[in-house]
Amino acid sequence: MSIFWFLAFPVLFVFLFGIIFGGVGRDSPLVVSVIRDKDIPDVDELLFFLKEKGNLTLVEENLSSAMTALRQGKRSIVVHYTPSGIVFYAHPQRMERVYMLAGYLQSAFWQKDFFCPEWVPGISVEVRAIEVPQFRQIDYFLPGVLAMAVMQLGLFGSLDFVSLRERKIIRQLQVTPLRKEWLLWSEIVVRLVIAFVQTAVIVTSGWLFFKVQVSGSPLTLFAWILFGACTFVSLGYCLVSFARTVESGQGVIQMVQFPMMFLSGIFFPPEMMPESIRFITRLLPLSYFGDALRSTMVGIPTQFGLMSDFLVLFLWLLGTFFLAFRFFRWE
Amino acid sequence: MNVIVVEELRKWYGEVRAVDGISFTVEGGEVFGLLGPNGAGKTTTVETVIGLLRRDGGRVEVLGIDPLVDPFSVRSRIGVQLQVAQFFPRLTVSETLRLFGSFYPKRRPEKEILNLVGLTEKAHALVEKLSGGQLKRLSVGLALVGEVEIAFFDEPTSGLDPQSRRNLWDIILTLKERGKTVFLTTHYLDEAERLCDRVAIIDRGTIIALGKPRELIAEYFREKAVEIPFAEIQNPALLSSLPAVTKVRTDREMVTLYTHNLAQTFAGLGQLEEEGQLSLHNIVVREATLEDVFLKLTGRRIRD
Repeated sequence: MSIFWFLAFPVLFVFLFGIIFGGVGRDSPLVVSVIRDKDIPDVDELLFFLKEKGNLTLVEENLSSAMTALRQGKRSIVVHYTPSGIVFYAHPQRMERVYMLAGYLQSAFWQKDFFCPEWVPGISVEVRAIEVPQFRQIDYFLPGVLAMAVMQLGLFGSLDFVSLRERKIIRQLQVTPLRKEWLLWSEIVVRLVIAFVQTAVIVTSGWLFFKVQVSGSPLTLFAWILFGACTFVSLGYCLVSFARTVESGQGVIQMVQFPMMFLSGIFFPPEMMPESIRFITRLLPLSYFGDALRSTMVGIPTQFGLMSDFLVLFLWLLGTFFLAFRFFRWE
Repeated sequence: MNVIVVEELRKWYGEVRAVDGISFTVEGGEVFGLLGPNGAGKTTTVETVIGLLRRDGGRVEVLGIDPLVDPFSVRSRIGVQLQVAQFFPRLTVSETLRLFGSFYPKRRPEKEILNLVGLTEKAHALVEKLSGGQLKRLSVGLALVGEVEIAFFDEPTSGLDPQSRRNLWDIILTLKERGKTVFLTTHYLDEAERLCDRVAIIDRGTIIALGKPRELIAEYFREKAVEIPFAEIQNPALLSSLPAVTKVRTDREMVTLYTHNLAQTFAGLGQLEEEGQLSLHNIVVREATLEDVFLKLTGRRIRD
């Protein structure tokens, strides 16, 4: 029963924050930015018509914030009313919808033109793809692998302690003046050191074999690694608080880490997952960690925003630390 | 000066009263023994006194400190050898001594301890490769590696060969010479009689006798014991009617006669032999021991 709470409680916590910070990043209906540098009522008519049908959500903002949001995937289409015409912007990999929208508009103009001869068009419609840095599969994959390695290090590492506890070595140490906490701290320090070594190895092999360039600052990267490692170490100890044997501890950890591996967007981007499963991504700490590492290491735009990544991981860290502190058993 | 004070100590596991109101004190510099059969509560007592287990009731003070209130201070000044010894399997003996030594404010040199417990040749052996006896000796060594004032031993010689037992007895007597206090538990009578200045006999969670071994024997036993193997007797009932016999105890292996006048009893035994009722072939005559005290007080043998 307590296992359920270990998993459910932090998950609920994160779910709330996921919703708060997630914004409206979901895909359908379309989110369309409208920038009116000129008034073009006919286009308004079309857009509002579509909005009434429930097919899109309209956001009014200025060009730069619209473009930033578009790059981050928070908008599907940006519609810019300019004096010379209408410009549609969209992500190069998602052009179908914008072509459709532009197509509607074009046909609306033709119809109007056909039926209302006095109406003067002279409005051009243009569709442009925004420039996005091209990322290879490996660029996406490598930071994810590092994130996963750190996650597994933190989770499985706690089994060392379970092993000591199971074999009653902890008991032997308890009759000495060694303070209990020092044993844990020493394990944690070792794990952090290993995390850094992992980082060095993975980054170096990525660079050597696949020419993956680290675009962010090493300091930031190490800071994120440190932070993520702490979070997963804390989660690891939290999960095994009650495990009597290494076997049962392994069981609990597998139960948690297995879905995390596949549903955190490490191996494939969340866009490729079916809708119904996608919300789970928001609940898993690894999703946010991977996101932060991808952004820091290779510059892939973040899915949630670095601030959200930090906050969510921080909440997981606090929550698991508190639970571990409360329920941890030394025998 | 009392270095250990235990008053009405209680430790229950649910319904089972492992330790049920035990009281005793231990003076500085003495060797104090807790003697009793398996399951009597010896280990529970030791582990509660050092603070490894939470007691359910009573007062405990080690060197004037309650081990539950300030465990750190207590543990810095005592050494403990637990009955079940478990160490890091992939460390060597040497490394283990150094590791544990590093926990204490003052420590004895590694070589000295190795020498003391006879593990010098095994200094670089992995702990997982040690035999049971060697592990036990390591355990004793680790109890002594910090310069401790009190050493606690829980069944220090069980499972050891006679030579190792004697070596360990020497270690304990040396500790005493150095002015250290020793608290040990055992189910071996010879150990209790030989090593302990005072001994508390414990059975089923309570102390049934406490004092110097010789005094306890003298108090409870002024008689000699005659042991006759059961197989050699035709009719055991006859034995109680022998002259000077105060008590007859029968168990699976033998019949024990307690007599306050050996000569008279023997005359009677001789007669029975002539009548063909028994054989004096394997008869044993001995002084009373703590076992007899225990037997008298509880009706059972310690060895059962």
